[in-house]
Amino acid sequence: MSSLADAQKLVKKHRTVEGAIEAFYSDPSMQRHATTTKEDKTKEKKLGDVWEKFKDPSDPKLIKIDGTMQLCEELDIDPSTDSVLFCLAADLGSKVTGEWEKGPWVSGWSSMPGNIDSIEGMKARLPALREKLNTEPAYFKKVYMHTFDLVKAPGARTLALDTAIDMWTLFIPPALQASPSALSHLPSSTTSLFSMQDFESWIEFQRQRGKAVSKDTWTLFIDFVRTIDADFKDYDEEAAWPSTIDDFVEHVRASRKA
Amino acid sequence: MSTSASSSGKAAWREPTKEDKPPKDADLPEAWAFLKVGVEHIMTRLHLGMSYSYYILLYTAIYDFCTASRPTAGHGATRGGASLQGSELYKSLHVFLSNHCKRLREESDTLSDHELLKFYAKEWDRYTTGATYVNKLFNYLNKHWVKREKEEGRKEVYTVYTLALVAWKNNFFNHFANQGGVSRLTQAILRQIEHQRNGEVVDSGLLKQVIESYVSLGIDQGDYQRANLDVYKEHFQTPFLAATRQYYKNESSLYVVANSVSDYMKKAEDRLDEEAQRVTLYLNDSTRKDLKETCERVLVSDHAELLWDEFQALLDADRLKDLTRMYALLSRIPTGLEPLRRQFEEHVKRAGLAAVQRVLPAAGAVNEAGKAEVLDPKSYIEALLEVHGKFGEVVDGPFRAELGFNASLDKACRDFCNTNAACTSPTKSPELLASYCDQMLRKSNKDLDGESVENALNQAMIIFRYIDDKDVFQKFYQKKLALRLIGQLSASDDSESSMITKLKELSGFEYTNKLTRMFTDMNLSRDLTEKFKEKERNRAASSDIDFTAMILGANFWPIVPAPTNYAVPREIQSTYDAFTKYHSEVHSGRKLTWLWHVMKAELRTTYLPQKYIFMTNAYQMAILCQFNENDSLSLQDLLSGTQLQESVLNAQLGLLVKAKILLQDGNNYDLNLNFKSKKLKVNLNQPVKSEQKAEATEVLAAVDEDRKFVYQATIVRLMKARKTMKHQALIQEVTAQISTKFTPKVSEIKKAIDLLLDKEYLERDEGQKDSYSYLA
Repeated sequence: MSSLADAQKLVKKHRTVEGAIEAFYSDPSMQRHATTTKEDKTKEKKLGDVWEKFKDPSDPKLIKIDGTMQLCEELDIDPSTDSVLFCLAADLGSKVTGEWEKGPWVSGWSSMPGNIDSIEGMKARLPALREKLNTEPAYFKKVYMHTFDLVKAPGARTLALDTAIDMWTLFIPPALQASPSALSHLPSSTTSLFSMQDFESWIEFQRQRGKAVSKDTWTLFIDFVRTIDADFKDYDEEAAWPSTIDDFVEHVRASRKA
Repeated sequence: MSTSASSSGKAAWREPTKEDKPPKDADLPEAWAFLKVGVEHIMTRLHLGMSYSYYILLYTAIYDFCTASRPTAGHGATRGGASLQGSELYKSLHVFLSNHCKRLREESDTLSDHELLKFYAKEWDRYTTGATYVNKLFNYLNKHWVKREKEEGRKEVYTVYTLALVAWKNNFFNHFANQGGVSRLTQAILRQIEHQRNGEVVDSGLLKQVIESYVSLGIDQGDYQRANLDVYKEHFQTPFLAATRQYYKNESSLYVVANSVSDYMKKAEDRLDEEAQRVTLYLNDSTRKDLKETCERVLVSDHAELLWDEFQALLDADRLKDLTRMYALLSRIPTGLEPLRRQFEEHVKRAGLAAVQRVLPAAGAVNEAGKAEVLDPKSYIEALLEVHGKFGEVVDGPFRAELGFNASLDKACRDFCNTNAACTSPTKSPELLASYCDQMLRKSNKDLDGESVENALNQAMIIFRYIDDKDVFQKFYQKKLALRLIGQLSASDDSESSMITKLKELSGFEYTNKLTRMFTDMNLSRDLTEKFKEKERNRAASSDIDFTAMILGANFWPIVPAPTNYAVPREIQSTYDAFTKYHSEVHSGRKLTWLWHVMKAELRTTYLPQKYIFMTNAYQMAILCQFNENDSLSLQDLLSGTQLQESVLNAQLGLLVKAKILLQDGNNYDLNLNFKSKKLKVNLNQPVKSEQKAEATEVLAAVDEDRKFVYQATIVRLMKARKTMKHQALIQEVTAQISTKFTPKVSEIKKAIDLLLDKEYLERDEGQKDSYSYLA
């Protein structure tokens, strides 16, 4: 099944069919989709049953916000402070906050390690996901980017400032403090040179600026965090950074001089 | 034949006759005895003459000797025999010539300098003349024996003339050589040249002869006909150049200590000319280049620092002749001009800044009316032009319009035209230039006739070229042009269109498009007004209102309606309606917006004993029309009657009160029934102060808006063509393209990129955040 949706996704991403095929064969999860065994079938049935339990009474295609709240309760997730919910959203292909389609739900859970087929199995998986989010750069970026599309107002191109600040506060500090850190300094450190104090400056700067956050700034902020030196000395204003980040660096430099 | 006796003391010459000729088969000693007498005569006494018959006898004797068959020769070896005999003859001749030269050597041993040169030259002349004859005489030997020997590859055999030169060189010339040093003969030449350099008279002809012999003695082993300069170069040119270097090194280092740089430059120039002359006079032309370089190195390169240091002083004192000389000297050496160009650029820049400083009003200066003195655009532009003109002449004159100096001039002018004490903001210079053009093009500019205006505009274009922010100029110019056209303040249409043509030539069609359209609108408006009037006449509408309309295309005119309401006065309502209707008939679908704030009116008074004409704006007209009904009105009455904003109304009332048309009594305004004026036409339409200041801000805001668009449009155009570009390359290209319009800022380009990323015209390439792709 995967194949149609995945294939479309791959072709879109890689622009050519050849590229898509190559990507398909180099991604094990895709291949698992394609070669479904009998055991998998049973597992998928069970996962589907879990989904059915939470699905919305008014919409048979979706788990909606009520179902999500119930799910959080059973999984012991505090939806207001636990970023693991965004990991699930990214991994299970949730495109709207609190809404889960059955297909991506089933394939998402079954491609996770540990043969998960029950609420208990899911719950047991969560600590690993939290750990992975804060320590693995690629995974962090995936969840972080998925979150932008998830939490922005429908049709908007930018993220409302308050939402952006909430999300940054949710994602950045734990990752900065983890070891190894998902925001480790590139190319080869395990810790970040971007301090908690820098992060607070960033939030304060954004408040002063008082404008919605563009996707470009949202994205490149992570690259910025991972490349900036501790003294903000090596930053090149003429490089391809969004001007918001230019302004931030100028702001920090000025305030450090003073 | 000379009649004078030989002074050598030998017996007087008797020319041998046929009887003296040896037999055909004479052997070498016998034949040579006869020939030797002839050869010796030719080589030493040719001035005594030689008869043709004797010449033929000798010639025949050589032929006979070479062709006679010898018993010693082998079978069938007629030619082989000739070979053997030729060889004997050749050897004898060689020995003779060598001995001759050895004798000369001995004679010259005691001579030196001038005497030596004279002797050498005289003997050389006689010897080479003689050798030419002997060469012809031995024609048979040359043509047969020598030719064959050469064909067989013998290097050491020469034609007879060359043999003579070889003999001279080996037995005479080479013996002047000094152990390891310069030959005695060359030294004699060099001393003569030194005398000449010291100002003494020497015999140039003599030097020329001797030096030419050096060239002749260069014998090319491969081809005797070819000039070979080896001997000349080794024995003369090298020591000559060394002596030259030493001479001028001494002279110049002593001279600069005792004389001014200016005098030194004259001296150096004279010396360089003199040495060029020397080549023409008596040196081989091949020496020209090396001699020139040698002299330039010693006279110019070695003193370049001194000249460079003096340059500023010459500029400061406008010493044009010295500058000409300095340019001429330093242009001779590589990189000699580079420091001058830099200094010149700095100098011009300083001069420009100083000139602006001079025309700036002193801080705190006030005019007669007690207001702060402002910079007069005309003085400002003329100050810039004066500096440009002055140094343009320096470049064209002393610096021969050389490209590098032109570039320095341009760079300096660009600098001081955009950044100087008058430029409180980077957009000030273009604004002042536009004001200058406005002054020149207005009717009020009475000082100038058409031709002078044209001149002034050409001058303005000089500064225009240097202005960085051409878009700012464009906006100000457009605004001022609009005011001239609407107010009918232009002195001449010809001058106006001439200026637009100039701008178009330099900055293109797009730059002047709106300006041109504004003119078109003026012409169309004239036609439209005429047709409207004609129609009104035909309608026999009895209106004593004379009405002229200007229809201004909203896209081309920098004028927007004022933010106040306006009640059309009853008195003009019918004309207003008639024209509105007429316009919609002619141009259906076009929206007509009335720009009351730029309208002008002339009102005739009927309420005073004297009839006056009041020249007013539309607001004043509306106010005054209210007084057709009442002689006294309250502010409230006027507000509701005219619908004008209170601030606008108050400003205009202020003007009317000031002109004593109205009398103010608190919130009440009365018509002054005792109004008197010396002039029958009373101009009430004075500008309101706040409007003037707002103008500049408004124009600059418009410029900023336009620039945002230019940034984005340039990026999109580039990305559309390239599809994908690196950040740095994009910034560079955009900068390059925009620079012709104004000075772009990287931070602004980045903001435009941000915006285009947000609008999804562009996206960052995956995995390469410094590379953008265009999204169709």
